[in-house]
Amino acid sequence: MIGISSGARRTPLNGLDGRTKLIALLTIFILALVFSSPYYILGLLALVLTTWAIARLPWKLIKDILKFFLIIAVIILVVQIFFYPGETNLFRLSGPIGFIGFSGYITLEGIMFGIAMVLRLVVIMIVAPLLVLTTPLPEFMLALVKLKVPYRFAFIMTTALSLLPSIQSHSAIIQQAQLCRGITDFETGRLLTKLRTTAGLLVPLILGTFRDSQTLDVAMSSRAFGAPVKRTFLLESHFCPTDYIILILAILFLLGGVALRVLGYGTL
Amino acid sequence: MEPIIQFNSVTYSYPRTDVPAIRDISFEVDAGEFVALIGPTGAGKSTLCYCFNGSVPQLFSGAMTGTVEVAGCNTYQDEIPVLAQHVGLVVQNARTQLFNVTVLQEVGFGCENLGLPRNVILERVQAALAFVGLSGHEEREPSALSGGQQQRVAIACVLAMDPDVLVLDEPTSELDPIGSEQVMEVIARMNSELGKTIFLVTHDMEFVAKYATRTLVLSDHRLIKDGPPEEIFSNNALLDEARIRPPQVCEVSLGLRKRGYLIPHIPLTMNEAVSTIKGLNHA
Amino acid sequence: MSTSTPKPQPEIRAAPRTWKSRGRLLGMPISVLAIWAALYIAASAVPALPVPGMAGMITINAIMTAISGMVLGPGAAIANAAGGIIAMILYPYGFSAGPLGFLTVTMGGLVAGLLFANKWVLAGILEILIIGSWFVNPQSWQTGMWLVPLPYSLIALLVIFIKPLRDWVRTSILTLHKVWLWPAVFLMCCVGHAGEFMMTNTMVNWMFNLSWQYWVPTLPYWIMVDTVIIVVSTFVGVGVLIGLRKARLPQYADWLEK
Repeated sequence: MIGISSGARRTPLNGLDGRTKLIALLTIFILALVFSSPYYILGLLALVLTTWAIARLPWKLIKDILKFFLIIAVIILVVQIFFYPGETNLFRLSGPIGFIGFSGYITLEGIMFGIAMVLRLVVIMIVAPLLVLTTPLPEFMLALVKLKVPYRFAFIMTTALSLLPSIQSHSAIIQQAQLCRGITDFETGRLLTKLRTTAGLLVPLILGTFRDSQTLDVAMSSRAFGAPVKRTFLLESHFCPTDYIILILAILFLLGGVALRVLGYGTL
Repeated sequence: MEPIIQFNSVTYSYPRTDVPAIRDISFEVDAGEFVALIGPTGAGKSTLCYCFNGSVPQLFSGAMTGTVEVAGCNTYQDEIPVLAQHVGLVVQNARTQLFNVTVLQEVGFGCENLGLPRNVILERVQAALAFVGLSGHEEREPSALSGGQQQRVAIACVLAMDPDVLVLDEPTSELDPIGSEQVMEVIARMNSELGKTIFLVTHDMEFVAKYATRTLVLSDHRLIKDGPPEEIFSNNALLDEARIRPPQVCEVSLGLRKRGYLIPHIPLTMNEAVSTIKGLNHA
Repeated sequence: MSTSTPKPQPEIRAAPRTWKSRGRLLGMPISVLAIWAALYIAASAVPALPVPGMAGMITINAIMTAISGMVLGPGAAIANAAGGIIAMILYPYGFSAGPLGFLTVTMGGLVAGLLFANKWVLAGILEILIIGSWFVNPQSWQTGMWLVPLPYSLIALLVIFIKPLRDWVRTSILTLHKVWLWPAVFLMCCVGHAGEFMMTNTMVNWMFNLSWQYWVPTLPYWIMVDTVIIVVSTFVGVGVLIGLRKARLPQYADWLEK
């Protein structure tokens, strides 16, 4: 869906250190969870969208991502509007319906809280792509390593991503083979048949790919993977002044946000 | 001079199998030799390759007897990262052995693991890529390269670690003729220009005839013959036993010999064959 | 094939390997973990079941999570996390919990993997923490909310804490028992899947404050979905376990022999 692979796009955010972007992302994510007032989360959303514009990422991408979350957004909104225990009654819809816990009134708090939750969903869902689309994978990996994530874990991530194309072509071959044998319900077919064929696809795919692990293991160790010395990293990353500014801002935002919340602001 | 590769009656079986994948293998190779290993599929050629850098028995458990010494290292005692600096192993499937995101990272990977200084790594990567003819491809994705280019990147990867011995397991098995030719040319130059000892597993008999100084034949998990290519390709019984198809020029000459023509010396190249057959006409 | 056996020679034991432990994480070769992570990403691209309300859909990576513990042991947590982080960026519709979505699949793999490696105390503590975090949220004390974690988490708790059941499940899987392999894999899939979906439920509940009016009416559907996933996972799991044993992958053998 979103093509990241190696070379995320060249954007103005590319110059930033991966660590900065990762920390900024976490800050926004945490703040989105800390606040439950629609105004505050709207502020966060504005921040994310501004960054999106600065990075010159296509707006269509946001639409693509949010498309998948439309139904949950509607459900969240409806559940909160009807069932949030609000106090400011706006209008009366019906008599109280006890067994589903509906008071009969639509409340201001319910609407506000519903909007806040939907906005929270939007922020949470578009903030991660923002990081990844502006950070080539090797830089992302280096950022993780510099943030003390074990190198081996970062290695698993990059290796997995670079093995993906060969797995996908492998799975296409298996599907072709199954089509030849008359198994045609990958796309059509009822839900249960679809699941059965999926299972029939997964087993040979997993087994076939596992066979490659032998080659991969030999190839890794032939290139001294795990040598008992401190590893060099070809890629280098240094903080530039902008990085420091953004980092300081992020920390101030985070502390300020938490402080506001403790003082009772940012909630309903 | 001490031989650079010494196999001393090596037998190895994979875990949970009773049949050894290789049996009682002994041979020696001197530095600078170009050795080709040929034999039918399933004879244990890949397993033999894994012995060179200690993948057998260190990486794969299982039972091994005998000793392997390469460039003064013992594959039991010395760990694989140490051995990797002396033996470069290019495994059969190029696609799974390229697992980095850019060619630069890919070729630098081995040196990064060895903890070499950054500028040394960059120099070595550039040199290795130039040697295999892929300068300027540093920022490309390995998976987006053609099969032949991928295989040359795989060779550059081990070349960058500057090993004395290069072991290549069927580097051209999945390539088209042009790709194969380019890869084989790189392998031959590593031997002639850089003086590396080459141990090559291949089904490409034309190439064996053209470049190898010595040929080993592996059949049914045993080493059944060790000699110069012309000796192997003129031995009909041996070729049948190991189910090997010799280069077409040899096949022609062997066929002629069968029909009663007197061919004392089986030719290996087209030119030799032409002059041999011309000689027949004169006689 | 020639029948003569090689001359008997003393088998030489290899020296201790420091690099070997560096090539592994939680007992699994890194190559295997990377390959699982790659499979995981690929599986996340395939939607399987629509989800009422919850973000997007359930993809077949749910199957991968359910069986990961049996295939990789505790290492499953690492492979799932690595795959999950990338998958949720590439294919976000399978992850209801947004950027933290990878935690759910990590938990599923970790609980089942620990249990399979017979570290049942840790598995039990994690399972209790997962279920507990659901009840820490005041939302969860509303009408009928206690029903949500019940069906499969209960089975998971039973498998983890009842010794004869636990041992029977492990031996049946390790020995690939002809008949008992199926129910044993089913129970193991329950543990793996329960870990994942309870973690997801908890996180979604914390993030979006959905009240019982959402959870209770959709509960029958959830039980149906979970059952379907676990049943399909059982088929896949049995196939993969038998296939892997037959394939005799040399570097994978160590783990199976333990």
